[in-house]
Amino acid sequence: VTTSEPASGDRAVDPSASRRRRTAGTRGTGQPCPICLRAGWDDLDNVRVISQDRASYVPFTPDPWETEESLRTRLTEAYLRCEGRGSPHHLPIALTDGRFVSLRVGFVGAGRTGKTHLFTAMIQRLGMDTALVNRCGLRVSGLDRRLHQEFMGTRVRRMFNDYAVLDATPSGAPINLAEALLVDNIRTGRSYAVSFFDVSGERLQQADADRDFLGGLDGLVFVVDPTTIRGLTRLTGPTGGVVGDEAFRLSIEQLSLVRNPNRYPFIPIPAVVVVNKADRLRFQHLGVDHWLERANEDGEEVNLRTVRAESADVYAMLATHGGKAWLDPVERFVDTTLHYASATGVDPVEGSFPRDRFRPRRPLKPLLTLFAMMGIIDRTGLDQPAADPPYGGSAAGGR
Amino acid sequence: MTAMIWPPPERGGEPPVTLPTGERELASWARPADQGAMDSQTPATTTGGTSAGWLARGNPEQVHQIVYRWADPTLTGIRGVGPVATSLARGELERWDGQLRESVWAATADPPADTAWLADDTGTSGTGPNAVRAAGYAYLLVPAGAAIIRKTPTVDGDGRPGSTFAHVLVGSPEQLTVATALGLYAWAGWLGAVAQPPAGGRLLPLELSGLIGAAQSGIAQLDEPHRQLRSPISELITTVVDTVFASPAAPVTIVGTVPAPLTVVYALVSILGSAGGPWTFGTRERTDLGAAAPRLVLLAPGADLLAADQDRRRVNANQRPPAHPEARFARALVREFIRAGGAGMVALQPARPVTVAADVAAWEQQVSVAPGILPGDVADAGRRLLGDAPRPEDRELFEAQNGAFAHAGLGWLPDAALIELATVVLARLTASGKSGMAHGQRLAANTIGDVAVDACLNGPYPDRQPVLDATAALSLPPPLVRARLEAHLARPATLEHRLDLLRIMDVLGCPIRSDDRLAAAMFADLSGPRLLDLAVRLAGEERYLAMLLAEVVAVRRDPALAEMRRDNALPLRRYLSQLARVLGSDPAETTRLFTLLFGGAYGRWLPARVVREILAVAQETTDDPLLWVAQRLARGRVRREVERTVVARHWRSRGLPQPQRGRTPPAWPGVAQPTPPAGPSRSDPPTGSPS
Repeated sequence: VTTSEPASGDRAVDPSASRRRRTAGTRGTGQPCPICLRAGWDDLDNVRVISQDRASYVPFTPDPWETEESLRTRLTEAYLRCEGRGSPHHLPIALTDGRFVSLRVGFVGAGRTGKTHLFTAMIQRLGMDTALVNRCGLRVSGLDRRLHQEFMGTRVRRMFNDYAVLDATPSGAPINLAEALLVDNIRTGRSYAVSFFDVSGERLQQADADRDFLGGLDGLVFVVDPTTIRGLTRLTGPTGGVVGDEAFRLSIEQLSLVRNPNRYPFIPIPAVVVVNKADRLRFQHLGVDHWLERANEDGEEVNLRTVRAESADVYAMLATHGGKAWLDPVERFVDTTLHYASATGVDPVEGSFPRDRFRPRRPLKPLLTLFAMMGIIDRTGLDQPAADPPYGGSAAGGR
Repeated sequence: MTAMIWPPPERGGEPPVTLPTGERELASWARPADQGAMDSQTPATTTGGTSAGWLARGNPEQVHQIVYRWADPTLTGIRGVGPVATSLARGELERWDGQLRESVWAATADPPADTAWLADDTGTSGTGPNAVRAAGYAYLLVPAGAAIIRKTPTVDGDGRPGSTFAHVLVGSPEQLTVATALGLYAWAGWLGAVAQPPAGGRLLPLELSGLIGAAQSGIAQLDEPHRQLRSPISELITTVVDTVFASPAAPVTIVGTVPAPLTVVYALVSILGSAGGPWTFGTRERTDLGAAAPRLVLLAPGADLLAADQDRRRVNANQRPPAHPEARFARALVREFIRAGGAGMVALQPARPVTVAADVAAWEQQVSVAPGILPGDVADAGRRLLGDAPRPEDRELFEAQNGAFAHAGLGWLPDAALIELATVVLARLTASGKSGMAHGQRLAANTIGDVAVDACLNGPYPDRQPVLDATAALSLPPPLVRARLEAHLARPATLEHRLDLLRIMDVLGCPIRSDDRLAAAMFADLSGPRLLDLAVRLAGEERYLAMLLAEVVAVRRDPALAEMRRDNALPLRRYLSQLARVLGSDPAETTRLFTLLFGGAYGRWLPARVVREILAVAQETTDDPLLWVAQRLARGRVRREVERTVVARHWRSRGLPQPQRGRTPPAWPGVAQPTPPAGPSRSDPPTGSPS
C-alpha cells in the first residue's frame, strides 16, 4: 500500500499551476484494481463523475478556473473507471488517489450463513455507536457519499428501522464494493479507506466464478453458520453437512496461490472466523451464552484483551462438535481470531425480525479485531490478553 | 387448456402426462420410476445428448431444461441458489450452469400492478415460504447455445427474500430463436416457485415440436393488439428504435415502469429485426451491468440506475419521443407496426446488415417511398382519400410524380393490406359509383386498382387467390387491366408465367381472345406444335387456355399448319385428333376451332385425300368433331362419304339399324341440322356445321 501527499488546500491563482496540482492529487498510485486486480487503470483518463441527470458516469473535465474547494467537492463523487475483463466498473477515487491508506475486507461463507446481516450489523455499530468507537480512537464516516447512502438506505435502515430481513445477495450482479468507509485513527493521525466486499455465497463456492477481488484483500471475515454443523445443532436437526464450507476452501486456495506464492506456512493476511447466529447455540453450549451475555458489559466489544480467550472457546467448541472443517482459516492465515456473534439475536418471523427481541450481539468485536490485526488500531490488547479468562477458556485460540 | 409437460418415459409403461394447467405443478416434478439420480452417464436415451458438445450430439428435436432454486446442496454441490433439477447430463449441466447462473436471479422489487399478466399463478401472495412475485422473462445467447429463462423472485425456506426460482429451457440457437422465446412467454409448462424438485433432480427433455406450437400461439397473442398500441407505449417504442438507430450495435436499457414489457419487446424485435445483431432480452432485470446482460434490458423498479457501461444506451420509459428530423424513420416504422403488426414488418427488413448509423440511412432509402413515408402511409392516405376525412397531403401524395410515389408505396404492401384497400374501393364504388367520386377519390381508386392488378399479375396463379378475388370484385375497366398486362409483357416471362397471366386476366373478367394482338404477342416466340402440345396438355383442365392456344396457332396461320399438306404430316393430324377428343365436350367450339386449323392449313376446302384420312382417323378414334370438320370443309363426293359416316355412326351409337336411303339423318346433339346432301357438286358449300 502506498500513500502520497494529500491534495493541497491552497486557492488556485495560476490556472495551469492549479491544474498541475489537481492532476497530482488524482494521479494513480500504481495499485491494482481492487476488483479485477488489473494494473494501469488509475490514471487521469479514467476519472469519471456522475452526470447531472445522475444516470451515468461521464469523463471528468477539469475546469481551469475552478477553485480548489469546488474541485474537491466535485471529486467527492469522482470515480475511476476500470475496464475490467469486459465488465467495466467504477471505484471511488479516494480509494486510490493516495490520500488514505487503502485496505480491503472481504466476507467469506456459503449461502445463507448470514454474511450480509452480520456485515450490516458491523457497519451499523461502527458508524452509529460513536462513543463506543471513540474508545478505540476511531472516527468513521462514509468514503463515498453515494455508496454510503445506498448502503444505509437499503441495508441499515431496512434492518434496524424496519426490522426487515435483508434480501439475499444475488450472484448475478457484477462484483462491486458493498461499502467504503473513511476510518480515521485520531491517536495516530492516520486515515484509512476501508472498502468491504460482500459477494454472494454462490459465487464464492463456484470454482470457475469470477472473484479476482479475493486476491487483493487485506483482511477476511470467515462467517460460520452453526446450523450447518450437525454436531452443534442437534435440536434443529441434521440440516448441515460435515465437509466444511466450500467457500472457505476455495477462497483459501485462491489466496494461498495469489498472496503466498512462496508457500510460506501462513498466508500473510489477518482473518477472523465468526460463528454467526450464535444465539441459536446459547442454550446448548454454555460458553456461547457466556460470551453473548458479556456483550452487555460496558466496553466489552472494544476490549481486545478478551479476544484470545474467546478465540480459544470458539476453537474448542468447533473442534469438539464436528466443526473442525470450519477451522481451516486458523491453520492457514498468519493472524486469526475466532468470535461469537449474532447479527440480529433472533430468527425472522414472516420476513421480519420481532422487534422486542431484535438485538445484535457482538457484531463489532470481530471487525475491530480485524482492524487491529490490519494495523488500523492498536493491537496491544490482542497481544496482552486478560490475566483471568472470563470463562474457562485457554489462551490457545489466537495465534 | 391442457399442457404436455413431459414426454413419455423411456420405458416403464407410463403414458405421457397431459394435464390441465392447474394440476401441472405436482405432476411436472414427477420423475419416471425407472430413472435414478443423475450420474455422469447420459441421463436418458430420450435426451440423446452427452457431456460432449451440445450442438454436435444433441437431439435436434428436444430441448433440455434446468430448474434453479435455493438448496443445500444443489446439483453442482453448493449451498445456495443453483440447479436442483435438470434433464441434462452432469457435464452439460456444469457447462450451462457456468454460463447462466448469473442470469437466473430475478429482480425482487414489487412489480407494477399492470404487469399482472406476468404474475405467477402458481404461488400465493404474502411473505411466507411460498410467496412469489412477478416473474422476469429473458432470452439469452451464450457460448453453450440459447436459453429462455423464466425467473421468479421468491423467499427461501427461512422466509428470507431475494432468492430466486428459475425455470430454464436450453438448446441451440436454431432451436430456441428469439421468436420462439417471445412466443413461449405464456407457455403452460413453465414451472412455478411452489413446486418441489424430484429426488435426484431428474427431469426429462421436452419435445421441440410442442414448444414451437405453443410459441406460434403465443406470438399470435402478442401480435394481436398491435392496432391498439397507443401512447405511451408507442412513444416508448419510437424512442427506443431511434436510440438503436443512433448506434445500432449498442445494447439498450429501458429504465422505469413499462406497462406491457413483452409487447414492447415483441414490437422492437419485429421492427428492428436483425438490425444491430441478434436480439436477446430481459423483461425484469435487476441490473444491466456486466457482459452477461441481454442486449435489451428492461430494468425492474428499484434497480441501480447508475450506468457503468457507457456503450449501453439507456432510455427512460417516460421519455418523450425525439423531435429531430432523423427520427422520422423510427416514427414511420412504429406507425407501420401499429398498422400491420409483426407480419407487416417482414417486408421492411433491411437487405444488408445494419451495424452503424450509415446503414440505417441505407435501410431507410431501401424501404421508404419518400423521406419518412413508408408504403403503409400511402395505404393510409388512400383510405382517407376514399373515406370521408381526406387531408390535402393525401391527394398530394397520390399526385406526386404522376402517381409514382403512390404506385411505389402501394406496391410494397402485403396482400392483406391490398385486399383491405380493394374492399375500401369497392365500398366507395358501391356507395357513390364512379361518377359520384371526387377527383382525389377516383385517383386513389384507380391507383389502388392498378396496384391490385399488378399484385395479381406478379405472383403465380392461384397463390394470390384472395387478392385475385378482391380485385375481380372491383370489376375494373378492361382497358385498365389490359394496360397493366401490357406493362407486364414488356418484361421477359417464363411460359408458365405467361399462362398464369392469361388465367389471371380471365379471373379478372378480361379474358384474352385469340384474335387479340396481345395473345399473338405473348406466344410469338413459340412454335405451332409447341403451342398445340400445350393445348393438348391443358385441354382437360383448362379449356379456355387450350382453345386460346390452338386458336392462336390457327389465327396466325402458323407454318406448321402448312406442313399438314404434306403426306408425312399425318402425325400432326393425329395430334390434332387428340386435341379434338379432349375438347369434344363442346361440339360447337371444337368444330369452330378445327375449322380454323384445317382452314389455315388447306384453305376453304379440304382435299379429298385429307378428308378420307380424317375419316379413317375418326373411325379409329370415334372423334366426332373431326367428322364435323370434315363434313364442313369437304365438298362433292367425299362430302357425301362423310355424311354417310356421320349417319352410320349416329345409328350405331344408339344400337339402331341404319334407316333406309332417303330418310333424313338425325341431328347431332348441339349441332345444327345439316342440310341433306343434294348430290355431288364441286360448288356445294359445307353446310350443317356449327358456326
